[in-house]
Amino acid sequence: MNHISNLGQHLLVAFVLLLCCTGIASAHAIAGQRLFPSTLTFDDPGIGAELPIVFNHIHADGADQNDFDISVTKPITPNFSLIAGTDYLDAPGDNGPGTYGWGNFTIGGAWQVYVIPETESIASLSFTDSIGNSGSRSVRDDFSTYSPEFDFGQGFGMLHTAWLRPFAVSGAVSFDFPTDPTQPRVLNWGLSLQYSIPYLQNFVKYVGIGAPFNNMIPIIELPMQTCLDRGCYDQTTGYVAPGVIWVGHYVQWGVELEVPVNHRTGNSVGVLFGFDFYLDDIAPHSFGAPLFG
Amino acid sequence: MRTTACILTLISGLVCATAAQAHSFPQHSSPHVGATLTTAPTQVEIWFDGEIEPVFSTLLVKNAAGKQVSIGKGKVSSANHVLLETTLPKALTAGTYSVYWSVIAHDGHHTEGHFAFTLK
Repeated sequence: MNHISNLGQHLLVAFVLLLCCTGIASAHAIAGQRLFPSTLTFDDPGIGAELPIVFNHIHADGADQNDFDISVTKPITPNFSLIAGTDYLDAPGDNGPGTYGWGNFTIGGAWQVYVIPETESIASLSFTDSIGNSGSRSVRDDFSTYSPEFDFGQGFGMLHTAWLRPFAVSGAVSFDFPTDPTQPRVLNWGLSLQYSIPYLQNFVKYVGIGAPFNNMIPIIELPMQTCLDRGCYDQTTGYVAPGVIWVGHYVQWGVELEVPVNHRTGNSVGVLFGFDFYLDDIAPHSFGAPLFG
Repeated sequence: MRTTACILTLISGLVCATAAQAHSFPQHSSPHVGATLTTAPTQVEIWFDGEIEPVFSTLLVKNAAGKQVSIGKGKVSSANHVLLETTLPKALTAGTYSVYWSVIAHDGHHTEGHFAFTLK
């Protein structure tokens, strides 16, 4: 009976997500002339069909940790998409048995709140459910976590100073609400500052940068977490992640360092490597297209 | 049961399909973006990273007063479907000109942009 109740809860979440479908749209995170690449440490503000894969290696808690994160976004209407994802953790352990396995499975939905081409502004709202006990026994959490999230992007193309126009910022704010009352609630907040060489050469001034550098976007990301209660109140952890993202017609790839912002986060520098397949370009008439509208 | 719920939700998002949404962005142009020229160009050409629809793609050049100086609405090259081009009058005077492009990729997605060049 309890299983049926849980199934009903998750189906209800999925059904509600499917119902909330209206109006505006764009593929990837594009607002006017601006393309916002998929950031490696938090969601981008677009809701187009995509398949991001991020590999993260870092030395933390006395051992190497390798985390392989994969998710997929499927448009249902032009301004609403479903999201599904999970991750695989491989932590060999320096002096003993390691930990490895799949994390909990996450599902959710994302709405394109606004796209303003004239001001290069874009934002989305999403809601995800990390389903308790849905991953490998050694890795999974035995509780679910509900996470509302707001993602935004803002280009600087309207500025009068030409060399500033390729700059853009993007960010994400989300809350994690675990169903286990002993677990803390967490505020996740991320910010990126990016300088688009494609934007510089296509819309501001061609400076003769050739392939492959003409498609690169140098970027600094700041993925941060602040604990809100239950024994860790007001404790903040996070990273500064400088790197570069290369944007193509069908795929982007990026590499970034992960530098801890404080001792509470850790003492080792990690590395992130990510691909994002633009499914709406790769399969524009099948998976990449909205089901309706 | 929970895994079943996840799979059901995922499958509901995977089946079927209708229209498309992809995009085309410029690769390079002539004149170059932001260029300062001493000789008046007779054409503006923009090469995109994917094929574009001839019927819906436009390329306009306007002077500093906002008046169109290019001839017609521009056209996609019949020999090369990634090239959008327009013709300029021979008597182009010195000044700053703005190039406005708007394209529809073969798979339906719209992109647009603009840049300037200066003739001395």
